[in-house]
Amino acid sequence: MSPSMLLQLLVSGLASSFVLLLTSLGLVIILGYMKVVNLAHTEMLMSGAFICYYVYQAAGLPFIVALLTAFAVSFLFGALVERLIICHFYGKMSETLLATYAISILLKQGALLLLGKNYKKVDYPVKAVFQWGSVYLESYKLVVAGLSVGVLLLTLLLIYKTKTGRMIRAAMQNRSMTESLGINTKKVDTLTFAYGMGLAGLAGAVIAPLSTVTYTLGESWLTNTFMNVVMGGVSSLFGTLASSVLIQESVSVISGLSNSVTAQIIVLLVVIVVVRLKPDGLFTAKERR
Amino acid sequence: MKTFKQLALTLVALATALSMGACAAGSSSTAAGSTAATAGSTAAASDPASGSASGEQTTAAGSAAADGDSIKIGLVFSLTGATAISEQCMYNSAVLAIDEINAAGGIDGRQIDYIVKDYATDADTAVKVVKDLILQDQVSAIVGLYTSASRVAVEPVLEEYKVPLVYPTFYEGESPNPYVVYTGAVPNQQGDYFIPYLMDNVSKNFYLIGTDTTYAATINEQAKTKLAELGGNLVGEELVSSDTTDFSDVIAKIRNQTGDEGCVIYANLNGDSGTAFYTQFHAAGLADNYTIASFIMDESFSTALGEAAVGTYACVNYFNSIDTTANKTYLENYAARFGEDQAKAVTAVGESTYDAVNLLAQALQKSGSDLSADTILANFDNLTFDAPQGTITVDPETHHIYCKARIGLVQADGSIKVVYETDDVIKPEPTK
Repeated sequence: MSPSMLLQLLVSGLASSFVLLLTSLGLVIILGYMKVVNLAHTEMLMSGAFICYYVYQAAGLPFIVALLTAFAVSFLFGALVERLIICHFYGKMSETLLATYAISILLKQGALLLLGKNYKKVDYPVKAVFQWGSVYLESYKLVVAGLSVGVLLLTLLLIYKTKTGRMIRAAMQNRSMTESLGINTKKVDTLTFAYGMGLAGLAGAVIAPLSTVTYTLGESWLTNTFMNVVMGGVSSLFGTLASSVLIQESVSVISGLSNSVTAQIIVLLVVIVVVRLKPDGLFTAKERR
Repeated sequence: MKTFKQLALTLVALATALSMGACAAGSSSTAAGSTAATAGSTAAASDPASGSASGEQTTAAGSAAADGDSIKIGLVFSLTGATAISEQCMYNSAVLAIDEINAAGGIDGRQIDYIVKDYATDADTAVKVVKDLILQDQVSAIVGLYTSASRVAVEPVLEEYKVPLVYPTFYEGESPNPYVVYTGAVPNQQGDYFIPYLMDNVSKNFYLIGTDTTYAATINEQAKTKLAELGGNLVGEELVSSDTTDFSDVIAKIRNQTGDEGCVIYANLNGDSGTAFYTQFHAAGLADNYTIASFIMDESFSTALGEAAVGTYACVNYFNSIDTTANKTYLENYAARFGEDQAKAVTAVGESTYDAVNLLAQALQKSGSDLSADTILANFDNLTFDAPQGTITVDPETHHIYCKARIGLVQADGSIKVVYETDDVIKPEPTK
């Protein structure tokens, strides 16, 4: 492999890792802070992509409006679902799993029946391709990277620097103690779940231009996002960042040496080994037990 | 905390397994040269059977005629499930053909009653609904199925209860079954003409990309043989998994390995990963130097993908731009019934379903009152039909059709223009 190709693969891999990071953030927040395996996550991505199609492509509003709408609608949907369904199942792993799986089916089949069975295309909001020597990068990938980092920073600020964030962390560490301090943990739960779902919707809107939007869009993201979250550690946002980069760079470089199927097999094997040796993931937030 | 993590991991593993399973099902389904490519796509409102849960039935009687005076056939399509995008057009075309036949007086005065079953892109469901059609509804024949996995799964049922199936999808052309009549093209009516055309008109350099399925692997092997035979140049070969959403590594390799010379990107990818590839390939600015050629390209893709599809090549026996009277009538009636937009996305599998119903009607007519499988099947021999794609004939030996091979180029408006067609219809050569 020539050095220029290696460089190109590393750049492409890095760009892809920000896509993976963004699509995983909502999942890791709900899993890490609420102990809920949100199987509806990838269908929320699909819904966000549809919102992007209708707001940006069909209605012709600015892309940023589509992103914000996707976030807002998904946030509200998340809040509603949490109040109506999820809040009854905290601490019951298999029940939350079934409940979120059911929601995912509702979303997917709902999209199929209501929004039709054809491919919907969302144009790239920016189309230029940058070139440095022999290395190319689509400008939209840069936008996604920026957005991804921005969302990560905002989330960190929210969790570590605001009162709400303190409440979320407190509720995660010791629920009854938090409640006895006069904090309404139910409200905190709703907010956390809704935020996680909102991020999923936002991410869905961001990935919409990369392919076509159909009711099957969620399926293709299931493996990657869950694998990423497990590898990174379910309660660490930095872990998700690190594992996104690790996974995508490895896939990219190994793919350059052989092909992308082999690359995925190898990376999956590595994830299995990592999970065996470090069941909490590569990076685990230090917490009191 | 620890137990939770272990549980979580188990579940995640489960989710992974689930998604893999789904992919596997999806990909084996692609055996039909098509992969999830087509889309007649009707909005739910105009779709008589949408809303029916998987496996549920919708009866739409051919009306007027009394019960004893009608012929019952079963329609089996995925109205939900991973390939519903492709199968909607097939279902629409089947209903259209039946209504036309009934409106013209039916089969010697007998109306066609049809019962619709949704197999939701699942081979086990297909077996179940086909059994239901045969045992409960007592149908005389069945039209439908898209995925090769489902077709292979129902073959034992057809043999056991002796009911014929008319299978309207182009497919890999291997191990045909005596109870099945095939109205789609097989590889010797498609790929054999594609590579030579591309070598003459685009470039002698080929980069092969396929999903990790038997179908794509077979097609790429055939391509390699053909290239070696004709002196083409194999620049690179790439396998991707069927749920691939990110092609940046593949694109980097194409750019690096093909250099400045022109190159044909021979891509046979599944539905969603196919659209992702076209989109990202175009966004990366590669479309200027290299040309994609693919079996998956059809009108459902080309009308949706916009400029990402323009200038790419397709190869199948029917494009809806074909200029025949039969095609004009077919598309006009389709548009009147399902909408102008839907008619633009009519694809080869839709057309072959329309042919399937019409050929079946002829066979039923010849069979008269004897509707046993053997009689119906025997009466398919040498049937001809003025199909939208041109006249097709059923080969008595294999029960496949004689048809022309065509190569199409995607135009700026999303239509696919025929740039090459064989002078004569080609004899089908499925491999035993």
